[in-house]
Amino acid sequence: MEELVCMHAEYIQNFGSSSPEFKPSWLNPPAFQDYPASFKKALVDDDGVGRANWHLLYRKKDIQACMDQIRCVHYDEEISIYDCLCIKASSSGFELGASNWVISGARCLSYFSASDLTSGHSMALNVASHIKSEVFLFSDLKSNNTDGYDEDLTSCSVKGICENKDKDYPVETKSLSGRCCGGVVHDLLEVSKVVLETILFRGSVLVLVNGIGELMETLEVISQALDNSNLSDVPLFFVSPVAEEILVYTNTIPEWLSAERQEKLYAGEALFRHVELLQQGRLHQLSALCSQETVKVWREPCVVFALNWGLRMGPAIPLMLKWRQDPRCLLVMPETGMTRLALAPFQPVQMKVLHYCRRKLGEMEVSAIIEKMKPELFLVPETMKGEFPSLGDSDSRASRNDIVFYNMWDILTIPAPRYTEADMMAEVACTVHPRQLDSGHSVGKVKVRIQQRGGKWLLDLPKLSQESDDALTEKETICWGTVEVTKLMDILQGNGLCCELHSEGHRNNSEHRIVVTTPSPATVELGLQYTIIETNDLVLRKLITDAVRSLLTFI
Amino acid sequence: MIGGKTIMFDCGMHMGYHDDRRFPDFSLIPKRGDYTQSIDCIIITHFHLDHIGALPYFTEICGYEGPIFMTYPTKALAPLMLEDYRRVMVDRRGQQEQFSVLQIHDSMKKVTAVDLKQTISLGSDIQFRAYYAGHVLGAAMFHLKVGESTVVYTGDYNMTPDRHLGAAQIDRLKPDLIITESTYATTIRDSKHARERDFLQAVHKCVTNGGKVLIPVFALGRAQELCILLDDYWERMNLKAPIYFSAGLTMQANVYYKLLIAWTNQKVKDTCITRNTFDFKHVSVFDRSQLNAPGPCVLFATPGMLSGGLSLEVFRLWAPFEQNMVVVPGYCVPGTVGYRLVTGKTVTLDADKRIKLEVRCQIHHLSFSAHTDAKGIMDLLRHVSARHVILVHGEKPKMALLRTRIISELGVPCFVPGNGETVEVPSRLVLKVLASEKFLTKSQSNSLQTSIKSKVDDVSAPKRHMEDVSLSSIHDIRSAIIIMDKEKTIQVLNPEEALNVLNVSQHNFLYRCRLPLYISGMNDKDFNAPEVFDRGPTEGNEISGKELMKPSKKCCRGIQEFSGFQQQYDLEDKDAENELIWAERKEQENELELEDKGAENERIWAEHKEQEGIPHSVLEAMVQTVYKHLVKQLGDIVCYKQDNCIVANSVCIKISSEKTQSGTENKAQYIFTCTWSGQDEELARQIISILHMMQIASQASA
Repeated sequence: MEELVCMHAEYIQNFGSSSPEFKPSWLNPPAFQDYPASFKKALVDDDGVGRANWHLLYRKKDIQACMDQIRCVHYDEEISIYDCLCIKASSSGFELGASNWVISGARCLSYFSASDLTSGHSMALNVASHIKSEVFLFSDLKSNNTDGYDEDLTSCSVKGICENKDKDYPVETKSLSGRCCGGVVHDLLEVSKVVLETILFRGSVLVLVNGIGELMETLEVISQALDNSNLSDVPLFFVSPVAEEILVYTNTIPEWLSAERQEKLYAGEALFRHVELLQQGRLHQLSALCSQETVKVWREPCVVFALNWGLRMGPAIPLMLKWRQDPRCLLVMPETGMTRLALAPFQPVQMKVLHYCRRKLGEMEVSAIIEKMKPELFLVPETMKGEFPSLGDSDSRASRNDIVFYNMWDILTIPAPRYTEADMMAEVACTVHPRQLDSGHSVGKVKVRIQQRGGKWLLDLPKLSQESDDALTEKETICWGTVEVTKLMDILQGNGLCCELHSEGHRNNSEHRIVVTTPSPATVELGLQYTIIETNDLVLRKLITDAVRSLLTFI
Repeated sequence: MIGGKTIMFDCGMHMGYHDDRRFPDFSLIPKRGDYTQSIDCIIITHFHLDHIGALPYFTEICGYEGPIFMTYPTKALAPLMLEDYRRVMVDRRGQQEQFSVLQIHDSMKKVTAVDLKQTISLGSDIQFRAYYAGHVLGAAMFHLKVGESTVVYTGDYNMTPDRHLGAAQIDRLKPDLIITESTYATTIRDSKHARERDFLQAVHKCVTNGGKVLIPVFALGRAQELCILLDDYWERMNLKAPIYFSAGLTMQANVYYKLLIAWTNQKVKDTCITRNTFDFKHVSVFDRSQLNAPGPCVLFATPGMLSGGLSLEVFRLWAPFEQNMVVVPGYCVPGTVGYRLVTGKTVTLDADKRIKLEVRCQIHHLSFSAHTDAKGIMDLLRHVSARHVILVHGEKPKMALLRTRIISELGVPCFVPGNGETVEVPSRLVLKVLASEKFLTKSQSNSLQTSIKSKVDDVSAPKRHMEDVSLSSIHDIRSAIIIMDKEKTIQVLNPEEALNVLNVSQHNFLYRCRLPLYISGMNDKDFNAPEVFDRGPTEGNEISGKELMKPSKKCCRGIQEFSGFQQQYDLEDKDAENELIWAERKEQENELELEDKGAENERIWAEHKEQEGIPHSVLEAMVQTVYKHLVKQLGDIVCYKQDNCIVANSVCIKISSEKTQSGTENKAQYIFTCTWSGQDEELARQIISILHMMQIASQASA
């Protein structure tokens, strides 16, 4: 973010700034009327905002304020949110500190962002920490369907750049031809090969990377390749306003790195090779391209590393302007699907362009994870629909209802379970006086205090003070069964009551009325599911109540 | 042993012994086959030898193969510490080594490194988490959970931040047991600042006078802190005397410290971009040839406590001279030379069997320990709020004092077990039950909101010393029905759900009472007039408590008097009415269930529309008046009106007019039929008494 702000400052410095409070006049809605329809459409989306809705970029102090609000977590640290949810980050292997998340409340859900099973820098994808999840949500998967890329590439690459579209050997065939290449490679070693060739042809290389971990790995692989070819004197540059911070910082985070790099910690070595490269004077960290320092050390051919800002900002721009016409030079950039747009201002481009694509989880890997973890349900983007045949191919084809495809803006409802596991304190269990029923169930009634702690339910004994407050509801009972009139009559008469049965059999066999005359007047109305006792003699009432109760099941 | 699992916390050694007693007596471990089967896992808190010293011995010689856990820094630094110890033992003392370099490394390979707060699950039962403990780099406290039993083991910790480390941080975990160190069980230390100043001044003075300062330290921890302190001081005071580190060991340790900046305190972390705190300007590596070199110097020599090795060797050389100084930082184990110096028992030292050594140099004891003091221990215990306390890592008499204090101040049982003693502590038992969603969520939303609000308020409060995260504020009292089926599955349900599960329906068990009352066609003024009604609920309660019987009896007589009517009424209307009531009620209950209004307690009763003698509106006005009155009298009990019925809890008062016209114009006769279920007996009585008072009042006013 700081780099973005710095570069924005640079941009303003270079190109001047209109008053930051106002949009450029050509972006004000009244001006739209005069624009051609197509232009207007590009500016204003359907909902009337779109690109015309420009925002001011945040400043440095905004970054600080924002960062102050962030609570840092460790991998696999369980954080309770208001005690009703528990969230946990787990390494995704894609970047330094990149994480997938496990969110557990009533259900346990895992969200997989771009993930990598084997990572050269950061800690690898941790599948084990998702063991308790019932729902897996996958996003940012690798699509095998590369048609989209190819179209994009052919259309984006300038004529002559992409003569050979052979996908399988994009690198060798094209680079050896001494011209250019427009392919997607997934392996850093491939990248380093092309870089090496470029250097051998005395061309310079601009490597744009998306993430810091990626930068570190690319840097290492390329420097290693140069070493192997006795080209150690080729200078390496890392250009970024925050270059120094990044390089120092990355050397102090062993617990976020891959197992191999952690071994380096135990051996007491630097975590990344850049420390050594810096000491040897091969790698130069430059805060800006136009500085005195740069002038001193700059030498071509060289390899320049910079963060990828879509070729719109930062040190990449002057270098692109410088090298774009030089067919010996090479641009390595991450595949984003926006290549055409990115390269547009630099046309015609003569330099070679190599796309590098990080490994991500694909259909194979997802299937393997599903197979291993067996979640109740897993969600994948709709765009991947065609690519999950293998899941259906197994014997469970018909029964595979655990996969759901989602689209942007879709709201999917995942049914909540009827029962949730809760913890009941043993003290509570001790207060239960269970009653064995004929059905084999044991039933008991208890008063509990319900709490949530870290997403889990806990049933505890009520505190004494609270108990007294709720004394009123304590007498609430449930009971069931039907009072048999004859039995009740027997009991009542057995207790010496003088009573008489008024059966209203003509209406309903189950409704009866017992009228007691001595010792006090009383009536008892009986139905299938009700009993009403009417008397003013409390002793008698108690007696009748007991008689009725003995015929019912109470808890 | 916790929840059937055996966990070993720390695997240390005694620094004061040089025979078999230095290692723990592993034979005391309850046996289940070999050690690997007997112990489920070993958790090491930090890299000090008294916490890790026996680990290679245990894994490589005793053959423990199970999992071992420690933090990243501990895993990185422990081999240095162990190797240093091994070398001291073998090279300097000429003892037979207990384990080799290779064995140290093999041992460390079996270790799994963990991060702070990372929740690690081992098997399905064991779960644990590390918390920052200060003390030394990578020191951690561990919270362990096996099944439902929980233990916090603190290892060594420090509640005040020092030059390079932060203070211990732990959540309010409320474990069954906390095992805490108690090195300074009774000491309360003054401000650290003053101690630092004294130390620096003493060193400064000694160096200015041309003396040599020996600081025996362990390679890691104290050495770095004092180095930061001295380096900083040298810089400020522009001192030139050299500061040495003995051997490359401590220097090598600094490399690790630089890598592990994330485990230091915030200040060090913040400055590490510009200058790594562990890049010392004035510190250089010590060469043995400088031992007898003239001129002042400061030397950090290992091991600490002067228990042998270079530090003892240098001590022997320097101690006889008055201008020299020995700084003993921190705690010394009884039996070491350091301990004897600190306690000041001898000035003549039997450092070797042959040579008697007279100690003439100055001795500066720096109470600079990275252990917390008594106040810190109490603070931590109070914060963690465990149900039982065990004190370890301290001196018996002081621990006994602290124990008394814990028992009296915190009111929890506290134990001070000796070696080989067993303490048994009961843990909380928890049953796993299945609670229905309905039961749990019944009134959750309300309490949730309030709790969120209270938490938000919490956040705005100034940050406390230790994070206090989990205040369980979501709670709610409810009665639950617990059903255990044949498979011993326990379900927790709402009463209604329970009936469904049991496949039965509720039997309504009710009482009824009819009150024929003469109440004049009154207005609100009449009600307000009599004083008795304004006295509030207490008055009402008194009446209902004692005198309630009288009105009831009277009412009974009343019923008798009108039995003729009643009989007729019952015969003709009762069934129809009842059916109506029950049908309606069921419908409403269904509705209730559907809408889940949470008003199950309230029995809504059907209306009874037909009213012949008196115009409907008059009756309605009557109901309205009575309702108003009841609301006023009943206070906080929810009471509502539906057609000719007034309902409060399960009590339903149905008001109908008398069929046979009687009384004068102004006076109408009404029948109040009260029906209630057993649980609302009190309320029913109260209402009946109120209704009677109304009658009396209206008669009086008439």
